[in-house]
Amino acid sequence: MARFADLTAANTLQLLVPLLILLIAFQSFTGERERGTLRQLLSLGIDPAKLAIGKVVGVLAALSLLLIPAGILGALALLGAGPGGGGVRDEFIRFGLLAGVYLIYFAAFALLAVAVSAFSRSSRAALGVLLAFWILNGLVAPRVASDVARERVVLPTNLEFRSAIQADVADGFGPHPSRAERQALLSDSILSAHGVQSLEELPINFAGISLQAGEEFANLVYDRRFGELYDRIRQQLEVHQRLAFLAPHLAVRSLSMALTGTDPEHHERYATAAEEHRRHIQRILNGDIALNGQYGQTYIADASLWSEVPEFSYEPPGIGWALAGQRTAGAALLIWVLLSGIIALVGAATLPRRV
Amino acid sequence: MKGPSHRLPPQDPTRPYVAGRTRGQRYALLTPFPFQASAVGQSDLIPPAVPVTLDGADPRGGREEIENPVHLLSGPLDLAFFVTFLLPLLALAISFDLLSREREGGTLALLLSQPVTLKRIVLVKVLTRWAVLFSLTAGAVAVAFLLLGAGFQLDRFVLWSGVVGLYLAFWTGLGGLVNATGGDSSRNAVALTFLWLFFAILLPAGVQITAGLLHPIPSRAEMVAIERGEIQEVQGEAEAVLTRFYDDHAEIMVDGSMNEADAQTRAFAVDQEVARRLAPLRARYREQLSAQQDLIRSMRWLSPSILAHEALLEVAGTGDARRDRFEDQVEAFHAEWLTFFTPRIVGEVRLTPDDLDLVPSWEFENERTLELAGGLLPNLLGLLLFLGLVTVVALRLLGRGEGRAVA
Repeated sequence: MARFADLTAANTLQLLVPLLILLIAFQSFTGERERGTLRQLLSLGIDPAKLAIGKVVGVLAALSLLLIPAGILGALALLGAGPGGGGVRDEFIRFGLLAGVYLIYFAAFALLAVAVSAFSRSSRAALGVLLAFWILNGLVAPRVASDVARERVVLPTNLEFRSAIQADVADGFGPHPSRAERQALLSDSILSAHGVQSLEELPINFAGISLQAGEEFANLVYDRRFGELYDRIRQQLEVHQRLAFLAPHLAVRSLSMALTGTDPEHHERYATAAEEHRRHIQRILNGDIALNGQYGQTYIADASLWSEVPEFSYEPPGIGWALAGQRTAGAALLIWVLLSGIIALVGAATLPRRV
Repeated sequence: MKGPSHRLPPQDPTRPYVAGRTRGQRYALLTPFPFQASAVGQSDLIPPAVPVTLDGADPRGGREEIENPVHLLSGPLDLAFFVTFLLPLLALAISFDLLSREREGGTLALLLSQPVTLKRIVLVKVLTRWAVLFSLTAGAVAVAFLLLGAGFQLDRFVLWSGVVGLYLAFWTGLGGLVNATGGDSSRNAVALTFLWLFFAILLPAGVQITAGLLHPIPSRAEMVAIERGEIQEVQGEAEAVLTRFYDDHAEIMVDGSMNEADAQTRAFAVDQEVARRLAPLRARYREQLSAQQDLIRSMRWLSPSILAHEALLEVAGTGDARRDRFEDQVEAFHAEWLTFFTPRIVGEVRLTPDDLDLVPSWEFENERTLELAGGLLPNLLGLLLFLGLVTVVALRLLGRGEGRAVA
């Protein structure tokens, strides 16, 4: 229940506002026809195309009564929440772009509704067609897209994934040898570099060196495997964007997540930065063990070591980066609004013949 | 005198500590069954396999399956989604003009000239629409399950049909009610769309938001921080903890072993003390989690969609009741696990192949059909109440509108 009925700002804008548009606009032409006023309008010599545009503007004007206050509230809330990591300017550009995306989406819906109204024989038929579209586009498409993406791009199971990592670490991969060999190579090279015969004779603590070497190899493995995984997730999301040519809701969802920084891409960037920080801490700690510890003995450092560790700081990405992967979604949205416009104009043009 | 396991290498699996903690761990499985396919519920978020070890049996500790977060965001296209949200729309689509079409087409006057009341006409129309949709839906599902070949569970199918039948009746009845108000087709369509929006989306969302505000989910990060604090404290007093532990288990202790206690036995003693201290904290955390759940459950009476959705999940075995049942059984199994291993660890007994037969084995006790039906009773009654309300109001409106029907 929660996942569907979650009334977030995004859901409201992506699902409920289009529904509202439909309910306002489905009778644009069929209502006129049923009331008998369509004939009068057309007899005045008004260009049907202008009539259609007028209807759309009317719908959007009615909508703006709701959306403009909402937009202002949203902007105020944004100001009140304080600047995010990227600064106030970045936030407002993202807000502006997001508003633009939604406006295009709503315009497309309004055009579509007016178009269907122009082509339909009755208000009832128009409403039926538009509701069906709303259901398929908003409720069914996201779920079907998930299924299609899953079929097309397969993610490994948890077991497969973890087993692969374990195997890579234990047995090596590509040019890298197995763990046993790596350890042997490491101790040999360190011993010969310092010209001694045993690990106890080293001027540094071999434990620190060995730990760090293990860390670095594991990092290689994780980067490889997680990189693959994230690439696949990215490919799945590209499938969603391509399907947006059939269901514009997918385009809006993708764009809104990218602009607000809540898509998997932003998360991966943050997670990677956190991981980098962790690795930095490991280097400091292991380095300290190598320098100050005694091989084979427990080593406890004092508080001054921790003061060497820097604070974690994260610089959120800019809009260019955020939108880089959204080209398909953007194109789909633009094509939808263009197509809707064309259909609306064509529909209006057929009106005189079907008064 | 040290026990036999004392001299074994640390990771030897015949050491009871190793067997109970890592090498011999068991998984508590929430066994699936065919009818589960009808509703995914939370099963794609919460793993059905929980590892049970000496350290604990955290129901959320099972390995989650790898999934694209955007897929989890939209949820699955399962039967429960279809029945809860789309089937009503279908019902409304075929019922919104059941009377208004006759009126607008001029045929209503003709109908009423027959010896039949308006009430009868609407009743028959609503019933036929209900019958068509219900038989198509139930029939399609029955055929699907039979074709699946995984096993047709008649008992669950019957209960499922009951829920769907009542839910569908509410919506077709609602169509009749709106028609009884005497409006035109378009007005009816808009009104019914709003009613669908209200019952199926807005009310459930409102309930969810209210429950989230009144009982926010406690911070897991905070919980982890508190646990770490406790663990450190206990490790600081390790000697005292060990003494207390051996006092508690004096009767199974190997003579004179406390001072030379195995590292693993010491670790076990510390683990148990930590678990003992964390138990009340964890219980409170679980209570806070379920408080939200409970509040939503108590508010389900507000919308037939919530009642139906919950019932559908229960029948599919992916609802909260079965999950709670599972977690209770996991806790009991964990207690059994500790009871088996504790004396063997303290007594430093080496495990033998015969012990394998004695190690507790997991068996999930599914609810029986009668229990399931009993659990569904409130939901079914709730749906019946909504249906009754709609029927009463509709009949009232029709009775009054008798004279105006033709106008």
